[in-house]
Amino acid sequence: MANEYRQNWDENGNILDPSMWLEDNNRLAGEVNGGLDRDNFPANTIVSTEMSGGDFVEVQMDSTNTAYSPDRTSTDWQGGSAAGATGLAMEEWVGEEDEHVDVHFNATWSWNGSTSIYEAGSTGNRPTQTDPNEQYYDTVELRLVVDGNVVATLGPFDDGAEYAATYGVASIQLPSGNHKATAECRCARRSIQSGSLRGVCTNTITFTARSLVVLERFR
Amino acid sequence: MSTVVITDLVPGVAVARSDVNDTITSWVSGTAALALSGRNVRPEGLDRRSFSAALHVAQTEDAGSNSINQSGTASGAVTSVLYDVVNCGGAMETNTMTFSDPTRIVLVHAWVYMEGGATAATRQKVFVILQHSTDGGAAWADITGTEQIFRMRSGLVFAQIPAISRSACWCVWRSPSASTKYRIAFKTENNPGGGDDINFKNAGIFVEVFRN
Repeated sequence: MANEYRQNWDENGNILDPSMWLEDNNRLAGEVNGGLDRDNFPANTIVSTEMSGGDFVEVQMDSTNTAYSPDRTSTDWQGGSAAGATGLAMEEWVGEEDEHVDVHFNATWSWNGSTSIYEAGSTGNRPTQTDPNEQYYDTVELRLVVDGNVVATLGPFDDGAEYAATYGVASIQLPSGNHKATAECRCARRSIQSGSLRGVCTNTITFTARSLVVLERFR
Repeated sequence: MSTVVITDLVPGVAVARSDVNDTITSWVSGTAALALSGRNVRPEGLDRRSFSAALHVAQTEDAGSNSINQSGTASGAVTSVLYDVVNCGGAMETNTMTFSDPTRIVLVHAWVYMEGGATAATRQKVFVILQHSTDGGAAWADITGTEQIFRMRSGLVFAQIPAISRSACWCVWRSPSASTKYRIAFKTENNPGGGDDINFKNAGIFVEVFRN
């Protein structure tokens, strides 16, 4: 409420009573002590410098240009640690309250050997599967994981592109507390026809520039 | 009810402090906070209208050109979004999109779309990177973690893929607050030129400004 009006007047013949004298004061105190609302703050009256930082949004980031080469002989998900020589990207944070979180991730990579794409009838890397007409290639997949839950998957991307890049984003609701977001990758040879796994990669892959951004939105 | 007796009250004569028995504690009550905070606000008493509104930047788009002009300031109390997009209209080596805003947190999104030319033999390596400036654009620095590189392999016959084919990239970055301008920069492996056959078709950038 924007206005409080005087309630009492003292006139000749009245007995002065403190409770009456203080009633106006108490009404004003009650207004200020927890009763202020939009009537007291009309449109466009609060500017950014009057609020503490991080009231509505916080942004965390893990980013690097350091090369990371996952183990090509494994088809397991890997790389979910801090961005560097041994990890794709990882970010940990403490949510002070429940929050809505957007997780962004971008990365670029290169395949280091000759393409593994097998052409039917060629003498290239012969597939080991039973169907001689099946074609395959080395691939890499990426995924974003928050608190152990997969929130986005990207790919698989084949090694026909010697250099390539991707971007992904997920948006989730989280309770307050400790949280962890990771970017992970998985290398595998796959069938072009079915997409099924066909063993490990023959080609190695190296990730270079990458960035994991966690955008916390509070109520 | 507590009462106070005022003595020697005479019409036309001001009441003096000595006339009032001020030892009664009931006179002292109803204190108001001097240092106001959010607790002085009624729960859910405020809504977004109380916060100063975001001003979207004026935008001038010059489709089909390699340049674009962008100016304006964002004054939202909480957040603002600046957006710019350009249709490149053909091959180019660099393109600049700038935003000016001294802010606490800036989240920069950028994307580029390009196509390889008709000549599949041109295996050009293309670099796309986000850059920032802290001096209004006099000097630019690469932003770590945003460089993206594209090149198809040579000799591919599997799908007759052109040199670059159609590629798009996107990068996102939490900016240092000192940065006042951002741009997307492109370069090719043999920059400048040299028979390159790459068309940057269009590109965009948007900046989320979080003040609080």
